[in-house]
Amino acid sequence: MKKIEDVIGDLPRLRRAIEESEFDAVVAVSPENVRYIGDVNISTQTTIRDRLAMIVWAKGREPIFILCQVEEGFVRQESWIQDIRSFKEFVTSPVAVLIDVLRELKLEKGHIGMETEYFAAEYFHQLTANLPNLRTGPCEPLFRRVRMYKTAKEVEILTNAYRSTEKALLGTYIGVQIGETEKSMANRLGFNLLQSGADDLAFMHINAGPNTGFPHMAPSSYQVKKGDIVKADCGGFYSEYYSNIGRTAKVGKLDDEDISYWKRLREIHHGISDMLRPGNTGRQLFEEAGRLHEKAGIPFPFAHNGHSIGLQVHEHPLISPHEDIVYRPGMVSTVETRVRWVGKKGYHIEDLYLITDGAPVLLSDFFDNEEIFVI
Amino acid sequence: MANAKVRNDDRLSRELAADGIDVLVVFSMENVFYLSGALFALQDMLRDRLAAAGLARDGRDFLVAATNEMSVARKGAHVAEYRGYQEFRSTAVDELVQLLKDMGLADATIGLEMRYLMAEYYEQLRELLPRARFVGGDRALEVARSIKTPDHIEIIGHTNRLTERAVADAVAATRPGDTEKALAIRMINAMYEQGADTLRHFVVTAGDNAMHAHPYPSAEKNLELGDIIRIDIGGLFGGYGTDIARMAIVGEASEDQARRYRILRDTQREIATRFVPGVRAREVFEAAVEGYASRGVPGYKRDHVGHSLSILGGHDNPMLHPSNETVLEENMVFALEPILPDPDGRRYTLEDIFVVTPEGGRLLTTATDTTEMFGVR
Repeated sequence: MKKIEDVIGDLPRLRRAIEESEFDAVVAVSPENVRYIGDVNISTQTTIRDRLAMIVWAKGREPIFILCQVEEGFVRQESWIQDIRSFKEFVTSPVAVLIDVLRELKLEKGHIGMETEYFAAEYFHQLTANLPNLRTGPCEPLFRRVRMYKTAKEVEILTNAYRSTEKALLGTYIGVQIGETEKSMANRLGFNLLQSGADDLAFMHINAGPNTGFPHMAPSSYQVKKGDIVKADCGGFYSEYYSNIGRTAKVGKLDDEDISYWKRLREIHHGISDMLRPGNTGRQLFEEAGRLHEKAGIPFPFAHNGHSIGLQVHEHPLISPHEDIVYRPGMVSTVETRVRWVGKKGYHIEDLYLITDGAPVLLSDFFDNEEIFVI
Repeated sequence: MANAKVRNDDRLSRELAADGIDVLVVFSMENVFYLSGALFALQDMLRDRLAAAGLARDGRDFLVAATNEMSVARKGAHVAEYRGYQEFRSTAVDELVQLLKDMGLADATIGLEMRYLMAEYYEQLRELLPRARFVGGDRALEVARSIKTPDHIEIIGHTNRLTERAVADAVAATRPGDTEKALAIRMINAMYEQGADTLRHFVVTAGDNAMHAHPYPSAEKNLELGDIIRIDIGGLFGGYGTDIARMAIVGEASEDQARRYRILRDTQREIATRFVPGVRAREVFEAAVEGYASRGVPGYKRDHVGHSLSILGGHDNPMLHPSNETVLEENMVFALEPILPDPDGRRYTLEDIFVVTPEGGRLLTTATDTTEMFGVR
């Protein structure tokens, strides 16, 4: 049977955070936090949203899992949490079970941390209507503070995830044929991702020619032409952890414009990446990115310039003008450097770094995109 | 599929009127797509990059989305009004509130997708539109969405048949000794070959793993002679989801395995004859209980035997469960999956798509022969 020591995330840190928090208990309801605490993925939690899965973790207690009966056998086998309360779908409401658990914990008047950025309004009101003396507050910041420090196991998963994704993308780029459709490239990329170890595909925005001017266009029937830029922003799931890389290629010889823009983008990319050091903040990096883009004569209309990653694709700290979380060793961050002209052309680089006591360590080190990859 | 008429405007209008809703506002990936035609591939992954789509009872429709997604959104959308917000500078809620004010709906009855909209955003809306009355729009939306338009039925049939072919191709290329994961990779690849843009769910379980509902395919589990394989898969084709399940056997099925599969299939087809307007959803479930009992499997117990097919291919109401009194209507579409566990709990599963017609369920998933389990040989 799995023990708490065997899990991927940092549950001792989470337990401490709960003990030190203002809450008597926190309730995880989002797929990422249920996955993090339970160390098990309940795939239907996302595809069948009303099949709620929750974990109640009260101060001084062990966590209690609330889930649909149909998933109970699997979760008993896979999770370290053995106190499981299941609900029968269409017969018992999951929120009714949550209410029972809170009553059992004598927390009807307690202060409960809820994920109000996930929990749907209908369920929230069912909860508060039945427990009118319950006090609730958002607990997302608590979960974020814990999850932004990656354990050694998480760093290992992410490193493997990124390298595998790069390998898959490089293999895809190498095989691009003139006349091939974007969809065909996506098919090969998906196959390569799974072959290289992904459990599932997350997103595959692989585009060519004028479609590279969009950030997240679905692969289309556009046929690759000689001289086209080919750009991918793609990722897979590895033990539910995301990979998310960006790489740019060109079908045929680079022209002066490609070389000029790419050189400037790479310089910005290196400049920002090097700032991923303890003591700096995402705000500082974003502001510096603005300055560097201006100096390089490249537009910078973006709302962010990178993000941490894990069980969610965008995690804090973000490289954004509103981010004041100070980088510490053990955090990770992507840096994404790009320029796009809608419907015309775009270039994109996205890498992952580990923040250490010293210089940041590049984790996405398999497919070097120092120069635009020539197909 | 781009110009297909999928939104059931007539029914939406009737249901909104029945609930006294002036404007319906939705937020989930499937309902934003359903109302506006805009598909945000990352909506489930970047939940705080909120998008909203709306339809007023007088027919005015709109879309609110992050500016960085708008260029793609507009390619597929068909609404009259677009509003963008720049992430971290303004919010979807702010833009939505301004739009509703501009439309003269600040004091209207607003039907919200309460089963998706996060509690936090709901509280913000209530604060910013103090004169509005907020009610659940889920019921009206679900009812309208459950009655498919002819174009939608065409799409569902076509895309699910592509999914069937992908499963058949992957199984045909698989050999005893391959792993579950190898089969899964082959199947996903086949889905893309058939035209899927992405996958929504896939389950490939062999042997004893077939006891679990939805685990990931295992790279350690080899397909051994005599293993049953349960495949339950759904992809997105241009935003439209599919959901089918097929069984395969490694080598030759034993007499018991073949008999159990036959009972499953015969019962499934018998249940489908109840897909007639006027029948209640629970009566369809009861047909499963009766069908299995008549074939020597008494006391059948499941939470449900199927579901309306949602826009993204998942479960939707009406669910076919024993206490659902919903009356079936013509052109509802159901995924029928009366799972039959063997004595050890391995789930024999066959999931097909049927349209409700006066003559009984019309099978849409006709691309593969399911008389017997597929074979891995």
